[in-house]
Amino acid sequence: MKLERTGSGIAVLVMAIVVLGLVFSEQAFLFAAFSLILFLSYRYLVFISEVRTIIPSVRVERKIPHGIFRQGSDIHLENEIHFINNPAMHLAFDDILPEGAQIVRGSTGECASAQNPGVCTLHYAFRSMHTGEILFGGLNVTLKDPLFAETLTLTDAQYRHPEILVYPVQLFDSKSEKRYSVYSITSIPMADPFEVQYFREYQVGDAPKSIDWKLSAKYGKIFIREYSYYRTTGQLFIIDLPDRGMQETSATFRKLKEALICSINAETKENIDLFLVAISGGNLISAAPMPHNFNSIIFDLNRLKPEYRRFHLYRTLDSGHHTKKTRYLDSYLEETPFLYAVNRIREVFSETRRFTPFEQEMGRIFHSVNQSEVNLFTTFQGDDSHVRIIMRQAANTGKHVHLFIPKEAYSAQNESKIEKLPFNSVTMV
Amino acid sequence: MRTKTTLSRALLLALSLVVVVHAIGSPIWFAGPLILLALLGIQIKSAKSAETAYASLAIGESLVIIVGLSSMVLALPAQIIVLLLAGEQFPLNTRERMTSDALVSIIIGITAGIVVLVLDDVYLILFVILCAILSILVFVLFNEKHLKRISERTNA
Repeated sequence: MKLERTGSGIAVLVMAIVVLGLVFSEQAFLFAAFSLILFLSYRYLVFISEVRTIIPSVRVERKIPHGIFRQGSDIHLENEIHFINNPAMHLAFDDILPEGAQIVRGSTGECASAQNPGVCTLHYAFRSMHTGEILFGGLNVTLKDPLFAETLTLTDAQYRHPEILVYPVQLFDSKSEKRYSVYSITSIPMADPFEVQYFREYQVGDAPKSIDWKLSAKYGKIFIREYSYYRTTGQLFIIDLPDRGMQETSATFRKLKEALICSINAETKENIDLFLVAISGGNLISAAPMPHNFNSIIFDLNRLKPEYRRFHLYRTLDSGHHTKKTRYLDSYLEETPFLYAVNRIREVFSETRRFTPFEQEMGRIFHSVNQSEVNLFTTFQGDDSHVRIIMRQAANTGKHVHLFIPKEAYSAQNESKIEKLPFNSVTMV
Repeated sequence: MRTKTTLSRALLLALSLVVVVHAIGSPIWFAGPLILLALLGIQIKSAKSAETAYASLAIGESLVIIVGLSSMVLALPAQIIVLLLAGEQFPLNTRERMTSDALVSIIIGITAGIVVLVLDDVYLILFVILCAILSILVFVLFNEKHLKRISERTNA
């Protein structure tokens, strides 16, 4: 508790009157001082009762756009704070940023205004320098009346959510191992620096050393060199993380993770390099070699959780198979010119279309792995286009794909999907 | 601050005091009600800031002391008026609680007056004041801990 300017003024006045009362030995001074003390006590009681009413009513609702956040990228946030409004009480809120985060736009502090009673909204953007799961520090609430002020830090779990998963900005930078807590990749040789895969425009968080200055000077924009992936001789594991927007897959996903840990445990005994690719539908989440220590692997795998799917690859065609709707069309193609024309347009589009970023990424990863065995752990949730893309890229690079699927996810619909895809083996877990 | 209603109430109180004092028949005590009127004139002005309100409270208390030097009985209603006005100049509560605030101000004034009149000794009164300050400090510390627990509570 702090005394406001007037509160401290009254306290000083009381002291002065008491001293004068002692000096003059007059009851009138002490009477005034005693009255003021009682007045201050009463006002403190009222203030504290108001604080006790307001604090439990504070509700925080942080809104963060869905997406994949990388180290150094801007995270825009809207924090709506609800509370019981008291017109005589002046309230101010201050969001506590996660550890290692820096504010880049707006302000984390805001005072409750009379125009919008009971609601205070904070708009700001911050940049996380740490990777992994980050949590907010809580919320600072300052309550003031003309005499007293109280600042409280709310650190309850409800004031620290949501949890944000921040991925490292560069997964394959051996020099950044300590800075970004990326796994050790000393056993994996560096890529040929002249093997530039492609160029792209600079994005916030990109390492300055990746900038191609010559190209940037030529076009007046900053371009980044993207190198080919490092070649590894290890076993490749792909885990398909469920869609975070769908809440019903927690038990299935837990089983999937357990199966992955069991498989990895078997492999680590042979002391070979392991490479884990985490995807969520058609979204590449991370691709990194795993540490050699099994405990570290367990720790990393336990951190895997469902992800929001930014891209959905509906109706990605496979050379050998068509979707249900297309098969339905096939039987009428010869009889109906219109359907024939539609089908032809679809085929031409399919032939001339560009590769999706997911296809390119998977192609590069498969090319970088020398082992011919690929273990795919998936629940076949939603559209299976990404699985078909993986199968196609695996076939192009001569890989054998082994599917691991939880029993709960092995439905009749998924069974028909699995039958159509050329898996080397299917294991129910 | 609702200046008109407060002004009329305060004037009414001051005039009643003058009448009561006049009825008692001591012409010396007229100084007290006159000072009270001066005090009302100062305090009744709408405080533009908390500092102004504080300044008027300090002046009010000074006048209460002056009145108290001549008569403690007269200082009691003066103190009640000062506290009533202070309650309005440092607004904390909503309109519904204004009545209870006024009641509490009267109770505070009467309590302080009774304590001073009953004890009738400077050092005894001082001892009571120190005890009151200490008990308030203990209460504040206890509350601080309680509030900290509220802010750090965990959802099991």
